[in-house]
Amino acid sequence: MIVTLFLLGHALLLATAGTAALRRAGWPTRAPRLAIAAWLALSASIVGSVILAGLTATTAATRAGSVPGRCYGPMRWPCAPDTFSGAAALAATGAVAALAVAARVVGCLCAAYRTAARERRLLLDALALVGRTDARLGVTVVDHAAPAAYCVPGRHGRIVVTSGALAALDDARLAAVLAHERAHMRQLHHLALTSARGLARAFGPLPAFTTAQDQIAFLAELAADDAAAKRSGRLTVAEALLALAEAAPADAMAAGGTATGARARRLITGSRPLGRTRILLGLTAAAAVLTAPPAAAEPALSATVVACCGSSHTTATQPGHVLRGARTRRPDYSAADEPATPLPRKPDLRSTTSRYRPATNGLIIPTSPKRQFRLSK
Amino acid sequence: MPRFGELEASIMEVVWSADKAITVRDIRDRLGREPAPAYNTVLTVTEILHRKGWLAREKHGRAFRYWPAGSRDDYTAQLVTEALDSAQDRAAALVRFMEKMEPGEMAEIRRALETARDAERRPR
Ligand SMILES: [Zn+2]
Repeated sequence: MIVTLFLLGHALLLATAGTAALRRAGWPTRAPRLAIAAWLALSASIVGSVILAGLTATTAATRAGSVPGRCYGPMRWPCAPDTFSGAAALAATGAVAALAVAARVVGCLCAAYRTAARERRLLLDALALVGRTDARLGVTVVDHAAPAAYCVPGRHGRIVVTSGALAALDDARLAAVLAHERAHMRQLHHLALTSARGLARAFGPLPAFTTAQDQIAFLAELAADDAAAKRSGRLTVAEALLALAEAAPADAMAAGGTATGARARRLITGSRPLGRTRILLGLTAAAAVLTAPPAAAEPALSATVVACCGSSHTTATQPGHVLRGARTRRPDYSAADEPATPLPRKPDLRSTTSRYRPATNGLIIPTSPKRQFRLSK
Repeated sequence: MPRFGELEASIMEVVWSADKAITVRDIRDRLGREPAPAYNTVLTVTEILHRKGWLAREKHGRAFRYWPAGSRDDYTAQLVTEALDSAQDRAAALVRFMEKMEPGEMAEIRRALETARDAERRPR
């Protein structure tokens, strides 16, 4: 039960304080790829915690509510009959919640990937008909006055540039734009974006997931800008952004600062990339956030598996440690752990033989049959 | 993921250049290929285009007649406006380079950029 509460608390903390802290932090613009990983880890950790919370609630309640004869789990839950109905209800609730969350996540992720694939296919079809391939640049050109550049990601992905964009950019700026788009493809940003979109759809009103989606979209642009800046220089990338924006029809709705404007300002000012040590530290933190829920839930879940699978004690004690030598006379049962039917005791035989044949006298079943054969000779 | 085939593209070109709805036999005649593909092949691919939503059709006598669901320019515009339109919630099928900006913001960035370029050129 404590584990369940811990997991729920973990999810709640990440969804509120964690999300707010990551959104307000200054470092993500200095290490956009690390920040994308951080947002994905945060989202996955929230989802994982909730699912595992449901599972641990079920297992805890099952242990608590199981019939007295089978109540020898390591937690020694009381087996009073009157707890049964409440425990059963809790077990059912936990199982249903875990299953529902898991099904919703898988369903929405699959839907998001299917939709993205369908739209990509439609775009590629249309491009095959009305676009022309520029072999020198390695892009598809669409004859249209409005300046636009984008990539259709994926296995058959391609970069699309309008003739309007080609007219608005000189060679250096065009190279910057293409480097930006290639970075999107190379860094597989569409996978992070589609996953974030699926999760945002799965938990609609929860701001943690919509924030993650928006942030990942913005951070992917920053990561691609950085790759382009490395190749073409940051001011050239900013000039390319501005040249395309100025050639496009102005958007009066976009008042109050756009993401594109923020990107241009960041390129002009120049951002100091995060140091290697701090990147490693961040990766470790992301890994910790990701692995905390399963690590917390694992003992409770595996303990239940052992408890429910009958012969719990022979599986719980490692055979190897019995086989190791004469020091171990018998598996360490505490008196309280003794099963209802005690195992046959042969202390005399064992104490005399163990010196010469330290392994076993047939009481303990070794893991591998081959080994058993050899030892009994 | 099958890409748009060469025959599909040729058929669309024929239908776009025709001034009225045409039959599969007309399409096959106008493909201008030597040797001309089998009638059944053209029929199958034309039906695929109809199913994909590129061609509309109507029954005339015994045969269907086909016409394009959208003009070539419609598709071109769609390819461009969808990429430019920042309001539309697209399913991550594409990642576009930039969104539209408001004139004041563009002017501000232009000034900052010029200052930065000047600072770069000036010898230290
Ligand atoms: Zn981009």
